[in-house]
Amino acid sequence: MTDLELLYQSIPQIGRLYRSGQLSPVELTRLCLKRIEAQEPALNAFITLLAESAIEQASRAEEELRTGVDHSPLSGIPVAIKDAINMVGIPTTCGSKVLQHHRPTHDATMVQRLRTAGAVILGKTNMSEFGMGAAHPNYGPTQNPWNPQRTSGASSGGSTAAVTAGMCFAAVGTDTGGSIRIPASYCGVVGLKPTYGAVDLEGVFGLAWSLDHAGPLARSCPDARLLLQALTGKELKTEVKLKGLRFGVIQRILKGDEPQATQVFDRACQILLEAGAQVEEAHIPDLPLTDPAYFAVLLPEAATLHSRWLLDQPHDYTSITRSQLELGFAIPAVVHLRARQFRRHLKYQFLQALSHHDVLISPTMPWVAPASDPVFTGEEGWLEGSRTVPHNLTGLPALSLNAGFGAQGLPVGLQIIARPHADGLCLGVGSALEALLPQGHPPQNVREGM
Amino acid sequence: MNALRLMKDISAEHIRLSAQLAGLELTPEQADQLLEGLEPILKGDARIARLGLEGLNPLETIWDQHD
Repeated sequence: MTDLELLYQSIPQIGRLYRSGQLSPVELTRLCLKRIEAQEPALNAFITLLAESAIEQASRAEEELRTGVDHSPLSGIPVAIKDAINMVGIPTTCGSKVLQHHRPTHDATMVQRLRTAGAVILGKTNMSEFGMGAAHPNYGPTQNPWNPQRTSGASSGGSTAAVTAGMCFAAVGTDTGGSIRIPASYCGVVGLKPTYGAVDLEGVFGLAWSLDHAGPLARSCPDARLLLQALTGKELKTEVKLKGLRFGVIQRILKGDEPQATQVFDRACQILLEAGAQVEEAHIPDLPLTDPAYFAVLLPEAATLHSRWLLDQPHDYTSITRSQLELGFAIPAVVHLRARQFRRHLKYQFLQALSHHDVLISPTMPWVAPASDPVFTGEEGWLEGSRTVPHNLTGLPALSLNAGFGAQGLPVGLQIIARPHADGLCLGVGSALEALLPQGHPPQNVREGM
Repeated sequence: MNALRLMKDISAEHIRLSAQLAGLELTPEQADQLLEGLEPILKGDARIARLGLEGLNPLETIWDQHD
């Protein structure tokens, strides 16, 4: 097996190599670090690399496995963490100048869980400034491994690019309006926004308390499941057969959709029918009102969170992020509360639809990866998030997986939405479906260059 | 509520004063820049207001296992 083939193995496959003595965690960690060194100039996926501590963790995992101490399927597996998530003593910048010197005094709960699971943490990944969608010039944007002239997507772009480019085997992202699923779709990997509250956010600097989620990014649904289990400390049952499963299609075509993206989605629906699933349109009557409600919830929460810094150090923000946060101060309280009423109303409509269907599906994004991320609160930003933000409002689990390839051969995502706490069902349906859908080989431009 | 009429009446000065009440000082130019972003949110709010959700408690509940 070549080094590149090794870097694209699944987590269970690596686990088997470890436990049979054919590979060591230190060897693999060094390989990942070599891969990062080769790919970083083009991709800019990391803000802080933790090479020395990663080797120490790998050594410990190696010794433990050798002596029969087996913490979890993630023992010795190199992973990466979005730079909104606290690690003790390590800069946690949120992609910002405001927090460029911030060094947490303790690990986030999910980091503690990853350490307990024996994972090897390679570093803190790049993200747009405070998760708002604009890269701060101090860090720069993360490029897409499929085409470095394109964005990897915001805001968990660094975590996603690292997984896509074979720098790590899984990564943790956060998602307040699509920030796991948008880059997952653009980069052709799996990204899950779990049920609201499923992953403890203690020690995570979010964007809006009622919309923030954290979840796994990986190259397959089984790998994502293993990371989610480590993050939550809970086992998930994910065995699903597609035959007889009832799929409800929502938001099949919206304004601004690229025709090739719709074709990929329609082909995936055809594959589901051929597999014996039922696929029909589902109706969520007030879904078109989601976007204004979302911003009326998000912006005042984000503005409140940043209120002190906006007063004390406004010039440390990029102008785009700053004006988006300022907008939150202009939204009347009644507008915000009405939006919160709407989100409860929307939840009931989704639960109604999910009483008739096992899961709902939609395209994840209207298009393939663009050259740069659109302004979050602009028209294109609204279009970009139309299919992801509803599930932050409702808190339902939503997963994006690669459904095929669209314009310029770039990945196109399909989104699966399930009932609350049915994260295992999302992953199970995803596992069954990804076996039937065209999956990407390592992008040509990152196949070489170790 | 007529959203279009509402937007015609809203000026950058309204935004500046609204932000000031919430503790943020904006220059007239900064407030002017926010008008464009606010418009679709208020238009959407007008449509949401027509849904008649007044009695619905806006406070969220954590999902329980029975949802």
